[in-house]
Amino acid sequence: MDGGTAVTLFLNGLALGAILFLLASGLTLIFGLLDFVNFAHGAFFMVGAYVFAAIAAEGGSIALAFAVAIAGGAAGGFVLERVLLRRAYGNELHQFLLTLGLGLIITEIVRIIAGPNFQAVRELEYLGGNVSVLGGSVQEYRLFLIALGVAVFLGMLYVLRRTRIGLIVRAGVEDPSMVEALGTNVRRGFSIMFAVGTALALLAGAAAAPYYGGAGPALGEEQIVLAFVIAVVGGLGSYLGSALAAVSVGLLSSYAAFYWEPGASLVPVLLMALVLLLRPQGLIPQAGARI
Amino acid sequence: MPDAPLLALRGLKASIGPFRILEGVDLELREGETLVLLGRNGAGKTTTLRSIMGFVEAVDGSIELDGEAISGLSVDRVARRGVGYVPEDRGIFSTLTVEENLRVAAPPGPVWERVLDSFPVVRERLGARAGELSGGQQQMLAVARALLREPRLLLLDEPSTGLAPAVITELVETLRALQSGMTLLLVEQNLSVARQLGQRFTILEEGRTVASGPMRELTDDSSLTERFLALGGAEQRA
Repeated sequence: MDGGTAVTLFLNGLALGAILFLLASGLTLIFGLLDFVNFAHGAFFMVGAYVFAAIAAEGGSIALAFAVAIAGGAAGGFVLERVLLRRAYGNELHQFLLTLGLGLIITEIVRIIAGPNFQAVRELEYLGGNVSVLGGSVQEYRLFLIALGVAVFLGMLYVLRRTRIGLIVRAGVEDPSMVEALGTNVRRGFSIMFAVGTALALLAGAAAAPYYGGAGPALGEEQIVLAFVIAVVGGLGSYLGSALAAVSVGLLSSYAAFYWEPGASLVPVLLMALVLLLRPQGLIPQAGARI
Repeated sequence: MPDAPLLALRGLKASIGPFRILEGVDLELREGETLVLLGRNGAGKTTTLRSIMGFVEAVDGSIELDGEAISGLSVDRVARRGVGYVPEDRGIFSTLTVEENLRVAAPPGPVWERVLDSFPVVRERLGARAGELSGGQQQMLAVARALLREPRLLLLDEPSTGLAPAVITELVETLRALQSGMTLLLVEQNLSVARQLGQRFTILEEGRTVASGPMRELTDDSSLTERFLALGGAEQRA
């Protein structure tokens, strides 16, 4: 492998890692902060991909598609948490059944509305070209994905560690009653965090649509497995861990695919098996504190 | 009504799950006063505090703060009406730093300075993880955190539990210094602490108010102590 190819594979791997991070970060946030296992997360991702496909088909911009995905995801997540999902706090079986059912319903609704076939998105007009980086060649959109992943990672860390809502949620994870006794409505904080996690899922789907070439109803089922693999490899509930695991899976998949195409899909499973054998707590386990 | 009590419980009944815990609690607390709630284990002292905060729903009777009913309000609303609460387990967020624990109550401001002046040990450990503090330091943090909200009424549940005698002395001194202008409802099994801090007492027995009066009556009236409190030597320690 020459230097240019190595750089290309590296950047492509980072781009895939960014998508996987966006996907897993929402799941990790909701699990890490709310102790909530959300099996509908893949379906949210799939809806995000369709949002991109629908807006791109109408000639809309990437920015518009992302904005609609984020706003729709946030609003949907907020409402779902309020009317449905908050009933399952503290009961994993209820969470599993409720979100699995919700995911199936969302998938079927999308299948009814958009049809069972994969909808390809057109070549990107903006960010569709290739650029040379250190002798390698990479699509501009993939560089954009890397930047988006980094921006979301830093933004979420800032929100969690430096803002009042982040503080309230971290305190609320440990003792929600005490946060309320100190005069703050913690349930609202949980609703907001659920909205953020769902918005991230839709954003991940929208960002992934041009990368995967379109949107299909089966996308959610495929991606939820991958999201959980990354969450487990990173250390359940660990935000930093999910970022490291996503980048690892992205890079290893990219290099594996260069040598042996089917190897790319084996990477996540092999990595999870290896981590569970050697470091079952995950790459960066939560050391007492969540996130 | 200038003479209206700040807090009044009348015929308060409350259940936890299928169990009726409070069968009729009556008490009144005036502004600036410290009332000690006494009684054997299981008499309903903690449940009374938790009912006032809104953690436990009142089945019957009334809870009035400054003449307004507060039963049925959510916990955060009761807190915003000016009721501070320090639970028996202190409710420290152990994974957060001391400063973050305080920030949950209120963002830094002039009140912080005032409160931290009274709790130098908390000021010294602002950057430490709260879970690493000693029991006494955690209790100081819990009280300081509650005071940051400038409560009109502070509910304090067994603050001396699990603390060494020297630490209890320090805590009592700190609370005594803060007492002027503060209204305190204190649950305390340690009679020595109760006598040092309380002006009046109310005794609960099986979820009912059975006696109340000025603290000196309890000190002088050993039959009351024996009948309703039946405190052993450990609980009467100085």
